[in-house]
Amino acid sequence: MKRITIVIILVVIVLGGIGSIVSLRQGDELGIQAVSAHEDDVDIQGINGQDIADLVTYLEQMGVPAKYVQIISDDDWDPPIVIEFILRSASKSDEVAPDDVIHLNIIAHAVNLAHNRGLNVGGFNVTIINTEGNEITSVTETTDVEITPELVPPRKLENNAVSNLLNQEFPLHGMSLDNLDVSLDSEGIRWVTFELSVPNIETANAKLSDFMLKLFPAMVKMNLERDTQVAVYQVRLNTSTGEPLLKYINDLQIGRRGWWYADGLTKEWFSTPPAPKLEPMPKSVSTPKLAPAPVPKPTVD
Amino acid sequence: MKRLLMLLILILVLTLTIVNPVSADGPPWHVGNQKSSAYGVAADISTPASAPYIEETGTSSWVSTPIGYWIQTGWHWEEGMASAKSYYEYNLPGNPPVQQDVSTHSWGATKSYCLQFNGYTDEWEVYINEIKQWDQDGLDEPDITVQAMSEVHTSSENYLYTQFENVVYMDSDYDWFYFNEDNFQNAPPYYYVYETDEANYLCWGPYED
Repeated sequence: MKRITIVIILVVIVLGGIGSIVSLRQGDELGIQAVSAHEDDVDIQGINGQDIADLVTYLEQMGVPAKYVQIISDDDWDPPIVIEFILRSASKSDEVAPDDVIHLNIIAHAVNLAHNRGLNVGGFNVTIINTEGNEITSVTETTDVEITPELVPPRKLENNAVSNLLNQEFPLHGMSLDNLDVSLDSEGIRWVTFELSVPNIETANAKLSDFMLKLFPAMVKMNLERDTQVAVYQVRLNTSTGEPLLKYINDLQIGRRGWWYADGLTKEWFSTPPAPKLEPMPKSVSTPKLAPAPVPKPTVD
Repeated sequence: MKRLLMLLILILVLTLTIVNPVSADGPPWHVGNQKSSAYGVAADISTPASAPYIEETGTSSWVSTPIGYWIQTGWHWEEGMASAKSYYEYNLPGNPPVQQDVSTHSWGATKSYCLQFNGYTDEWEVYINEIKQWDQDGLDEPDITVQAMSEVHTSSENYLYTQFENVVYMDSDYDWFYFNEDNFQNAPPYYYVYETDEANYLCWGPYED
């Protein structure tokens, strides 16, 4: 009996060791209970406990419904340490809910900036679960991405000045602006949200592409020429009866964008790969005589 | 004389049609090659020597799975960007796409872009210059058509000049082979130029007769 007990204990220890180097305390909610803010002297494989606590607090402030966080070992990443989150979706099915892509991108924002400040993880993992607790999908991504440095504090313009500029200079192409939110997060980084509405999806399909195609270059230009320092912008488009058509987020600081769109909404404003087409065409066998000489366009640098 | 003239016009029209077969008119315009029944795709993709002219929106060159829950990696160059960027892109189940820029892809440089199905973990993975960037489970099963193409968005005045070299696919035994099917697509005014085989080609344009 004693031997069996010892074997069971050994198995538990070995399995625990394989699964994770350190499993931080789990709770029902992502929050500072994952790692106490007071444990700033904790050092786990080069991970500072305070860094994790700050990250968790930030996500909580941003309203990300994650369940728990842990650090695991994974040799696929450099350094071989991955921070894991479980994101609770409002979905009841095996497809994600509209807000999930926004929450995923906020996690990516927080982890990449924390990595840039010194959090020594090679990747982050987000497992999205539905209301039944079943996994919808699990994604692991690198933290080794380029960060745009000039979008950080100290801020050069107040929020109301940025709001005025956005109101004046962004044509809405016939859509109604219900609200424009310009705010700073707890790190002093500027977020902008356009809340737009249209009478119906047909109007959206007629108006949305022009707005979305012009938004990114215009926002970059405004940052460069007017010091607006908008790091992240979101577009929420609803029908006038409140039915969501689009939830879009573009993080200029970490070069990341994501969006959810309603069935039937135009896709003209973003690129997709084509459907498979396997009928060959005649070969163009010669080198083009009029090969286009790449012409530099004056870009907003 | 009238008949002769009409015959000449007919021949001219037929010749132009054969030389410049029209696929789906853009935008967007897609040009490049595809391979059926694959478990992965990789290519060395170059940028042109200097920043190509962009009239509106931009261009991208990539390896990808087809529309659906697609996975894609390559470089893109858009109005407002200071440099071309290497990126990966994927969809969450249900349709939301996510695109992450990773690093600058300098002008006149070549990078290897790869996406593959990992049979041990049942996950799709993306690598750029052989460094892992992303993986995800819960997506489509492999054995699908893969693509190595350039894409031009919005304006047919945007310039495109992208070299694809060593375009390979992974088979069901997880071995890699050069593209060996001629599934090239043109998208006038953008064309491919067949070089040594189905695995090495140039995508360029616009070119108007």
